[in-house]
Amino acid sequence: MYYRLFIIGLLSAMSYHVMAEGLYLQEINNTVLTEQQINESKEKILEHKDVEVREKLNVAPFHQRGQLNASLEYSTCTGCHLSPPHTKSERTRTFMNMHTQFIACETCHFRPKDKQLNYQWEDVRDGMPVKAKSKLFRQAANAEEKPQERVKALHSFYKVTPFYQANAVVLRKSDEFAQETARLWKAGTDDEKAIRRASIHVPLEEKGPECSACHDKDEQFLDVTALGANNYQADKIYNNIIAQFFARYKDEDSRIRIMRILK
Amino acid sequence: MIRSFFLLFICLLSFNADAGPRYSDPDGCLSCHVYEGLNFIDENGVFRSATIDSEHYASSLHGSVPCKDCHREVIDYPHKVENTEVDCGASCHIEEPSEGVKYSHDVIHEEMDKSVHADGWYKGLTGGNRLEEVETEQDPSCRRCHSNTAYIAEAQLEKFKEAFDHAETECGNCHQGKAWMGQFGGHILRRFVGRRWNNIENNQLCIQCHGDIEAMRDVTQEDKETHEKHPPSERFVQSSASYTKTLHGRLIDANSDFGASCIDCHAPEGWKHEIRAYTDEKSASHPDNLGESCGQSNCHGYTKKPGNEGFTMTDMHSLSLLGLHSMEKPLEDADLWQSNWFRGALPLMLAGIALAIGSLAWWILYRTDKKIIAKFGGDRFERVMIGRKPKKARAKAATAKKTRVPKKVEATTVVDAAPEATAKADTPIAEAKTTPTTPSVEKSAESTAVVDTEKEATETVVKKPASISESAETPKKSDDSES
Repeated sequence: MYYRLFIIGLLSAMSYHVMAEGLYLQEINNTVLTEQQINESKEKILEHKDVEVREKLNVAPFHQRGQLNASLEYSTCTGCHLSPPHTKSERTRTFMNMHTQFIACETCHFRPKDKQLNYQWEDVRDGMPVKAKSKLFRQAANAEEKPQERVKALHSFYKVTPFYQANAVVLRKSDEFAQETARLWKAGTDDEKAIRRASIHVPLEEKGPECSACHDKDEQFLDVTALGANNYQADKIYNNIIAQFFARYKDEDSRIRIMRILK
Repeated sequence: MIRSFFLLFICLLSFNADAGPRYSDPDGCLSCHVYEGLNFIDENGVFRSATIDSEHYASSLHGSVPCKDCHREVIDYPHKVENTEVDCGASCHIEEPSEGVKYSHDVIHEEMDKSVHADGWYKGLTGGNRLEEVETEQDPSCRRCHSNTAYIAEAQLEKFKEAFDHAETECGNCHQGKAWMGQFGGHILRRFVGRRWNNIENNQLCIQCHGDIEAMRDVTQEDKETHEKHPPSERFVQSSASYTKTLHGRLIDANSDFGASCIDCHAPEGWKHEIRAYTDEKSASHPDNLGESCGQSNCHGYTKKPGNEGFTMTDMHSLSLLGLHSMEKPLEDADLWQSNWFRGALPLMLAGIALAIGSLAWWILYRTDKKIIAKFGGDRFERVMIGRKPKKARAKAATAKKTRVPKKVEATTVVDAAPEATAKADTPIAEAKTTPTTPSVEKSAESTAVVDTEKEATETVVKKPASISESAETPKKSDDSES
């Protein structure tokens, strides 16, 4: 009896890892690239300039500041992109980087129209799903009773991740494809790199969803209740003042006077 | 009665106005900045963070200062960089309670302006121009040395809590209400619990720049009169290294209260920021002012008196100090061979090592031997005082004896080598002479000694300790003599 159970368990574990090729990797392998996509990709590679990250300077920050998010190191994306990755939009970069603490890159940037994904918490260290519960949210579940616990530290390695047919769609650094890409980036030609870069990026959306996709009760890109949020937490997420403030922006370059709005 | 009531009302009103609770975020800045992880890497590759740890800020030096007291022009989002610039010399909305004067760091800036660090940035400070400051400015800005640290240093926290508990009963008797205690009581008590930084930490501020030899070589100095720019002297470049060799530096390293810190000598007065060049007549380290500076706080009080000026001529940054090495772990000191002290002491060290090894060898090999060592003049003494033949003559006679066949005589009496006999034998027997043993004698003699029959044929042969038998004047004994 126990012997059979052991065999079943072992096979299950093996099948999980053997068949764990996520949807994103399948899409990469199945994508047929056009000439234009490859040319655009090569152009980006040639334009690229490495950024020397200066984390510590002789003049330290005046205020005690946040730390680098260690969970980002488990993502394949930060092998090429900076960590934290969002740098361009002056208005949204800090907030988007803040979301990388609890949202996987693929959640926002891998949104195939012909596939129905469901979203779950995942431990990025081993790729295992994590049971949904209210404790995983930054917003404390019982903040009304304990105001001092209104904001709490996040669990650094649990992130909302897209799943397809019980497999996380994320591309991990430990995947053979990611490792092969890293080798190619060191020794490959520009043409090889351009093809690889295009195949990685074509299945993705460069721009993520608007804030309202999650912070508006009517849109619900993510079902926060299914992710474990209780009513209080869900209400706070749907009525987030920053998301509402950002909804006022009509274009990326505009500036809005903030006095009196955030008080 | 009505007048008294009115006065009481006014008093209560004024008390509330002065000592009401303060909020550090009246403008709602923390609505966004409180979020953890508001990080990004800017166009220069500098890791930036817009997160403000609200708990840390509330308990920091500026915990009761609203953000807009420093970041005055922030009115829109995204914030324009120029609108976030901070001027440390500006007055903020914190008021001195007795006269209502707004607080400002400008008095400190005024001191800095007179110092050698006058060009350090004190305004226009933003999170984004730290790299520019590092790359372009050699003088320290306010923020290079100061950050928004906790209001009560961690090392002082227990002491502060103890004092604060006491204050609630003593001060709180009159100053009732948490607002007063929080705003003023805490402030006063913080000053009573002592200095925030000790001398080691004070020095570290200076050493973080002046201890960087390469950075100091890149410093450009300006002549005060001619305004001619020139590279720094080696004495200046090495000033931190030479200081650490002095008694001042070593005492502070040992956490002693008697060590003089950089500030103690270079900016002892005022707000401790007026560091002038030693060539400046107003400088505390100018030769004319050293008597006063060295004599402060009774460190070297006698230097203030006439006739003791010579003491102040000691150069505390002399390059010759660099040759001094710590001898706590001499073998780990890579520059040991550069030290004249070490090279000078080396012959003595080698001689000492040789002496130690020789002494050890002697102790191992000869410690049981008692030798009569011919002292200087011993031979002459024997010739003059007891009429003995000179050493050379005796040696000649001994050689002559060897040529003759010695006559073997068995000793008449053999005394067992009892302790008493041994004690007797310890007394020198000046005239007793035993003849050198020949191989044949050595083989045949058992419990006997061979003696010179010409002189001591009838003398009792006593088993003697080896020290005597092997003395310079005594021929060798048989190996069997001790059996």
